[in-house]
Amino acid sequence: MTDKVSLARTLQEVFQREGLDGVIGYAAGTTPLRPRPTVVTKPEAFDSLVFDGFCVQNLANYLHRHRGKRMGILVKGCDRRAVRVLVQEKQIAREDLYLIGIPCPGMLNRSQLLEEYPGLQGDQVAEEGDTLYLELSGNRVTLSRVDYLLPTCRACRHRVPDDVDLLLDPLPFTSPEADGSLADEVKSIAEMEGEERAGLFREELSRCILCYACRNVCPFCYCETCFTDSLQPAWMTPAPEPDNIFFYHVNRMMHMAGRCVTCGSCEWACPEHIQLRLLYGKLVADVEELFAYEPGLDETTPQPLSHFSEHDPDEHIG
Amino acid sequence: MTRTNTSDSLWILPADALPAFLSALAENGELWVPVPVGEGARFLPYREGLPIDLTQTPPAHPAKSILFPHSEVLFTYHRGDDGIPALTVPEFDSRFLVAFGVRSCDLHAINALDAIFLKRSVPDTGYQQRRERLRVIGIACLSPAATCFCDRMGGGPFDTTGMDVQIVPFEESYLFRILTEGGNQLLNPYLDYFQAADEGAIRKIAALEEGTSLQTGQPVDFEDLSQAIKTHNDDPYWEDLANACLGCGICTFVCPVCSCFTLVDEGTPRAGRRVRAWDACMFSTFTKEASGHNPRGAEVARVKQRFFHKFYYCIENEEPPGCVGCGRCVAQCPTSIDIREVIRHYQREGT
Repeated sequence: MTDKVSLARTLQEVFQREGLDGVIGYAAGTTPLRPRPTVVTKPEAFDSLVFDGFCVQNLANYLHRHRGKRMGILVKGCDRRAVRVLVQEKQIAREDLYLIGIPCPGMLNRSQLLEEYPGLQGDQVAEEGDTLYLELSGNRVTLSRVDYLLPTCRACRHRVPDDVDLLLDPLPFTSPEADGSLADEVKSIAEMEGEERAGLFREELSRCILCYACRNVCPFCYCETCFTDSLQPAWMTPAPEPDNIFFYHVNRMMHMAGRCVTCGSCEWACPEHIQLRLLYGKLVADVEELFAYEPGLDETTPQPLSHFSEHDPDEHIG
Repeated sequence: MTRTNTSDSLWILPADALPAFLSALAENGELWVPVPVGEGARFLPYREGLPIDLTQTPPAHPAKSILFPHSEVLFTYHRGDDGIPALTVPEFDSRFLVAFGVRSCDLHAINALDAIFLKRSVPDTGYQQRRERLRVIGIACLSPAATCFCDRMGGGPFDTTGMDVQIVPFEESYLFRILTEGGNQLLNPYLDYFQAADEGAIRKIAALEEGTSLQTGQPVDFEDLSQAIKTHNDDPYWEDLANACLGCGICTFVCPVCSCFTLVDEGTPRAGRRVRAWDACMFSTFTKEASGHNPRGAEVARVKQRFFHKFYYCIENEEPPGCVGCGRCVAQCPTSIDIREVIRHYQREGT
């Protein structure tokens, strides 16, 4: 999507001019529609960088590994917000970073494409503006990009990263307006009877194998010892039984209140395609409703759940 | 590779008779089948009405869970009012255990698991009792996935290693090819469900076998690969992989050979249980010691460990290689870390 040559040239120039230790971006993967995150540290290696509609993974997650170094990082809207949350939480220093912003057209749903076009390979997909072209053995299929957006991207209100050091040219696309599809999904689940709702999540989570891909892909899961790994006390055990699985997901979710930027990386990384957006969508909606707060939009407004004010409402204490 | 010939005992089961046959089989033993769960299939104990997926090649989750469950209670304990603790060990089934619809890759993996759980100094009790009861009705792979590379790792789509019976899906039926005396004993009581295969069917299946090829490269020379990996401990290539790796457990959990586990005790001083559960060398806590020291504290050390174990330590220990070419880790890694690429990277030119 983004012209590979100009991307390489621009980032290489930034790397040298700014004297960066490395640039975090995406390289081509070996499996269809799956780029591989990479850190470029040599001027001659910038040719490996790519950016297309499958660069879903939030790169801010990798910043923890490069603390204290001066890093360039490619940021979409959600990566930018995640970086801001990490700065706010004093995990990284803004001045160590050089943010290269990409106005994001919304990322594409790999599973949906592979289900509809089994065996689809990366080099058969071309993105041009709002259109997606699939070159299928002599047969060109034209699709509308918006029909293949990830559910979280469909609902995204912050596609263009703000306050970056360099904003790459807007891509030749018409960014679709954020729609209410995720909010509608969350609302319909919130309106379910308790037992029905519990059943839905029991069913979804029954597939969980406790591989922790959702935790490890998340920029905000950086605890030195996760509660899942604590031995004294042992809050849970690694057996993939319903109690452990439920305990894990509910607790991880609780730790995300006021922090989750709805990047969708957790659902995207899940090998079992568990619809984690439904849990996190509800959490984000609740924080917005209760505290009028959206994470990662500015550094000065404190996170509602890590901040105490004398004026906090306390009627519930009675 | 076993070619179809008329001297095999060949039987045809119409597809619509499969549920009845499986139900009958399940009455006399423990039967595991590939079941669609979410978008991937996993092996689960058969019960009537359970959907079966014999098309996913290979099923998203490996057959190792039949012999080595993701979690297993080793014993429970209970302290009575007299204060004397009593230990209860789960009772094992003594009937046969049939793994149905298992593919060549998973059977090569069981061969590797045998080396780990049976052939080292003390055999593993749970694994051993399940393994001894195991009968395998394997299945040929007519449509290997783009990530399959068993042909380079000693297997093949029609390979019958480890199978007592091999089934070949064909038109609206399955050909059952009895390969061992165990397979013969297993199927013999149920031959009423089958028809003897005629010449025409045999010819068609032979053509299917001829037409199914997986040619992803030359068989891997494991001695060479092991030497190459051993001598590239500090290769920057490992850093490239580590820069992407999330340190999650997907690759090891979907690997049919990975067999590391952890032991946990649950409960109170009065009552509880000891559980064995899969662990993953990709987890940062895997090697963390009580002192706080972690010999594989860096991501790169963990990424390296996976490949060093599979392609160097296994070979050095004269055990089967730790990879059978099922491609599950390749297909499921969110960051596209690819064991085929590692093999290519360290293979000598021309091999």
